Amino acid sequence: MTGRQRVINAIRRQEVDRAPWVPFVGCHAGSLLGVSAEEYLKSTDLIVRGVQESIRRYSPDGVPVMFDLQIEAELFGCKLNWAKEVPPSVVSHPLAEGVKLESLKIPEANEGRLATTLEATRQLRQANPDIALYGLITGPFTLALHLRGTDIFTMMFDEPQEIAKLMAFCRDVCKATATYFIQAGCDVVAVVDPMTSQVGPDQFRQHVTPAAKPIFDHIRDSGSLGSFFVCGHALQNVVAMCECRPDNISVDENIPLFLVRDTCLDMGVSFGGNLKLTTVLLLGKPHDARKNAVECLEIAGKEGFILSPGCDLPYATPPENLIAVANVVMDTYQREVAKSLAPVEGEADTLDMRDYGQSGKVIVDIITLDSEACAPCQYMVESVRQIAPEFDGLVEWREHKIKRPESLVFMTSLMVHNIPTICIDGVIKFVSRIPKREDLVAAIQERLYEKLRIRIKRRRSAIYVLGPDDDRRRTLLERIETAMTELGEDMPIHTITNEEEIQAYGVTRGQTPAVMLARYNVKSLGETPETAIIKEWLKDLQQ
Amino acid sequence: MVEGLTAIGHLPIVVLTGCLGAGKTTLLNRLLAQPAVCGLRPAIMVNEFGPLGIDGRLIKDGPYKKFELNNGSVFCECLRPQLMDVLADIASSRHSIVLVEASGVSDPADLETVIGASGLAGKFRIQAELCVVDAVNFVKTAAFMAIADRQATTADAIVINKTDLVSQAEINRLEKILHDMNPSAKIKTASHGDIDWEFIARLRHKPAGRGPVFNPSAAITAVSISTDRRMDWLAFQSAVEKLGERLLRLKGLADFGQGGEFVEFAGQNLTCRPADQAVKSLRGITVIAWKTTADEIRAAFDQAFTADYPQED
Repeated sequence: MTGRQRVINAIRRQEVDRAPWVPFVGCHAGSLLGVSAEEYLKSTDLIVRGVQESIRRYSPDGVPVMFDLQIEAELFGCKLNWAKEVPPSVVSHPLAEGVKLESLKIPEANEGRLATTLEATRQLRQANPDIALYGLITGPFTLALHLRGTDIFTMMFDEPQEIAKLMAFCRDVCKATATYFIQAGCDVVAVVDPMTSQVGPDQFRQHVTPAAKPIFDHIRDSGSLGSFFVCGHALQNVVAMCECRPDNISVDENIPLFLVRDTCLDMGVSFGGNLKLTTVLLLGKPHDARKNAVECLEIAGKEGFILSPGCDLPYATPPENLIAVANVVMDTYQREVAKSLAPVEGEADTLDMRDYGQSGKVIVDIITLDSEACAPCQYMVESVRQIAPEFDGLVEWREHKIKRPESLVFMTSLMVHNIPTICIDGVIKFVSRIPKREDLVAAIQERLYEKLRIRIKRRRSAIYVLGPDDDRRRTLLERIETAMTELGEDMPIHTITNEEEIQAYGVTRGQTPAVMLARYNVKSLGETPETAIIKEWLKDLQQ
Repeated sequence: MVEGLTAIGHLPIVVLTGCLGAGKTTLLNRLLAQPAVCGLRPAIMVNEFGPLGIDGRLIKDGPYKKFELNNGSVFCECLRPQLMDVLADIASSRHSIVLVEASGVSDPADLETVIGASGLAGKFRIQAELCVVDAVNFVKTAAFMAIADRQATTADAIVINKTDLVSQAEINRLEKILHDMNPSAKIKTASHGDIDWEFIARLRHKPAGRGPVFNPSAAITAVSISTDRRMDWLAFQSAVEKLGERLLRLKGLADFGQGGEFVEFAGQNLTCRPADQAVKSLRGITVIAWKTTADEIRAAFDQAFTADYPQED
């Protein structure tokens, strides 16, 4: 099933093999190209390149051509304020500045940035026959606000008939722009009307429905699919939105997805959403994105659902977060792993790992989903199980199944993010891939040598050569230096020639030259051990 | 415990909310002209890009730094990153207080959410939320615009502005409405945004979700009623009386047996006069009320319809 068919089927509430994934890539694509939002949104070439790049990276089933709710407003003379990382904002409202509604004309397809977007649509359609394309148009109420300003709210009381006229005009604009996008090759026309979340259902039905319903009827009659995008606190209007007969509605995180699901499916409308834009996709890590995606998929179920962000992706959304979502959508194994991860909150849920891996043995930890149920996990465990005995008791290994809470804490404490993973003495060594035997052996051996070096360093040994400065002592010193060089060791060599001092070590005259090795074992650092512990050390010395 | 405006390590934020045209900018300019405010080295976060060219709509230049948000008149989740960038910018500069003029359509709780989500919670705290209410238009705006309601109900203090344009009776009633919506908020009246900084400095913020719970029945409701059937004038008056002080505004066209007539209720007065020919076909009334429901309002006016249909004009 192609992505395009998957999106179409999902919107029509027909069978799909999995939920489709549609990232709302608007000016975020500009960041992929290294250009500002302004440059991006004004250029057909950049839009095409940006969308292509997002298709390459995020493997979507569908994608919007552009996400900019100011295109139509600009054509009517609204002044725009441009920015580097967000779409422009409307800063003037012609109808509030004396322009008459009757003087405004429905825009033609060859005007302004509408033409820019439509040309990009045509090129993207040709290049991507298997991906659903969304043409986004500004919804009638938001367009009305662009034209009139927020006076519109007081006009609802003072001049409702003027609102009706304005909305009728905006309805006709929407029908025209929808037609242009359909003719350019869009599979879905998204009517994006965020400002409707500002009104209650009564006002929605009175002022928005008379405009919105004919728009969706028109889209349907034109052989295309219509989606109603509303972001913000719009829960109060979900029923009214469905009454406008779109094929699909899309909401953001301000509305619980299960409520949207129940309402929409009851009313024969498909739905989409609602990955968290800021807290997860922008500020979170890939595992947060995976987790959020799984939550949405689990809540929504398979019927009539499209996984998408709640709104236009922030410019600086880390691509790896979107890739993580795509992986979860397409790879059921990744989805199972993400499902098994519970959020760990607060420092109380992590362990202090500073002193981990300091014992005499090398500890190999394998973090798995469950080696009895998961093939990669099983092979990972098996690889360690087979080579551990070859180290004669110097290697200890254990499996941590993240289905157990304590294993999850351990995993988080080691900052492991992928399953399965092998850690050696608390350090991540092999992630997701099964290591070759020789690689695993080499990694463990390296850690063993490192431990030996640390141990020697910690003991701070010294060599004492006792006896008078004669030929025999000089020969002995040379041999000691040669031995240290060949071993790569570096420790101080002390010579003692005073006879009383030599005798204090129990070496009598005639027994020189004598060699004495001293090992200084650091027993504590930065602490004041209890007397009982110090006594144990002293007992060790006596042995 | 740290008293006063600044807690160690936390930059206090004072947020001005309120619909476009309520007078936020005017009030902010008044504050910035007060030495007590300038002495705090304020950072000003503005949504500068509302309609321009009207006196008092721009923040005047002065010994403070302005950080501008490109929100325009549309605000949604996707614009939060910009807010975070500005906050991070302010956090790294040397200011003692942040004054925020929020967009007229923004939810005040969003600022707290953004501060928490962006990891800046250790650098900022909301000192106070001050909602500026337009004495002339608040009732009409709040009836149709959900966020206007929310801005008033979550505020720590409410300034009823433009009091020079309304009667004392209307001010009193608006105070009563706002007190019902937000019992814990301090309410002050002003004309041209003339508020002393001292009033704001003494405010303490109650975060969204805590403190007095918004009483839904205190909300302002707007209902549109189609009047394509004839109505009885006496029954209509009776419906108005039944709603009593809960009825705030009413306007529209109805047929009381004389053809389409323009009926209006404002400032406790119900009036009726012949309508222009051009608008006679647009029959319907809009009712704004509080402490009631849409169903109750419709039921009250349902009683005023007669069995007759209007004659063709």
